Amino acid sequence: MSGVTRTAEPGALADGWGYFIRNLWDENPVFRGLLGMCPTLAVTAAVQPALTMGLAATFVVVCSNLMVSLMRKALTPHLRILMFTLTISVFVTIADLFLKAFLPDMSETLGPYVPLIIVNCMIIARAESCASK
Amino acid sequence: MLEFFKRSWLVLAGALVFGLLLAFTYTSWEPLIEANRIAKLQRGIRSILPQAATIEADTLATASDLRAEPQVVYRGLNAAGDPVGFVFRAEGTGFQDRIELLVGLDARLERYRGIAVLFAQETPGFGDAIRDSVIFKQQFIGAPAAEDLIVVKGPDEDRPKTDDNEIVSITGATITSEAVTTIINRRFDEIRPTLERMASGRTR
Repeated sequence: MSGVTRTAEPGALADGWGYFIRNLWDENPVFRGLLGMCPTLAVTAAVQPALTMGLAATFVVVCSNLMVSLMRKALTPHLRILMFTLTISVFVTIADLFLKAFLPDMSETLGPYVPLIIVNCMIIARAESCASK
Repeated sequence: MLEFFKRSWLVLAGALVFGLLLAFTYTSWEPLIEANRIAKLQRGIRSILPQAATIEADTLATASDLRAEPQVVYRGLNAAGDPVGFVFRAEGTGFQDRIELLVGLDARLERYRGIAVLFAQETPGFGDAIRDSVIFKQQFIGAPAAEDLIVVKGPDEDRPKTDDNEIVSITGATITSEAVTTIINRRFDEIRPTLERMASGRTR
């Protein structure tokens, strides 16, 4: 223990909050950038599919970024995208199997859009720009 | 060789670990997925043959059937053990994906008893009405099996529906409606001889 106590600076906290709000609306990739539309298009008809797709995408982002962070020191440039895709596809497959096992009707409603999370540009971009740094 | 492993060990290790993870996940949840599939199949059969006390499954053994999976026909029996109808699977291409149906016939193979949709990914709001529209599905109940089902637009004042084998298409989803009737007609033609043998009580 170094005995040094770190406290969050008020400015940094405000910056973090501002970053969060900006990404919710001003820089929202779906609403403003029209990026990663595939899962969004699948769920525009009702609230329940939207929530399910949102939770599935969140699960994939969190787990795949955790994995990529763990392996980031071993990543070499020529393996980057390959490992990102491999990692993301594993967690998308787990999410898809979960829906088929526990929410079969919802799995049918979402159809092929859950497996398509694998190629969602925003999730790959997140792994590239944040988790692997 | 050493250079190959030095450059690719991460991919090999990742494939091994992730493969094991997926194998474990699939093995754990596969019984649930299979149970869901069977429950859906049973719901479909029961919706077509509600008066059946028991359902028997017969595997089709047609020489011309080259499909990988064995084709099964479900026979509904009443409490006395008499057949009340048959249900077979029919599959084909819809508007944007395959359509998988259960098709019911009465015990004499004279009239359809109804249909149930096992799988369809048709256009939301239009083609997916084959799954939800009671009006569309009710048209199949009582339709004659001796002749092909045909799709008509309407009925309206200019072109009223005249025959039982006419299926009025879903508005905005004519291709899906035609796909459903084509799938049923084609599959019934394929297995009609086998069904006739089953209906007459002969197994071969």
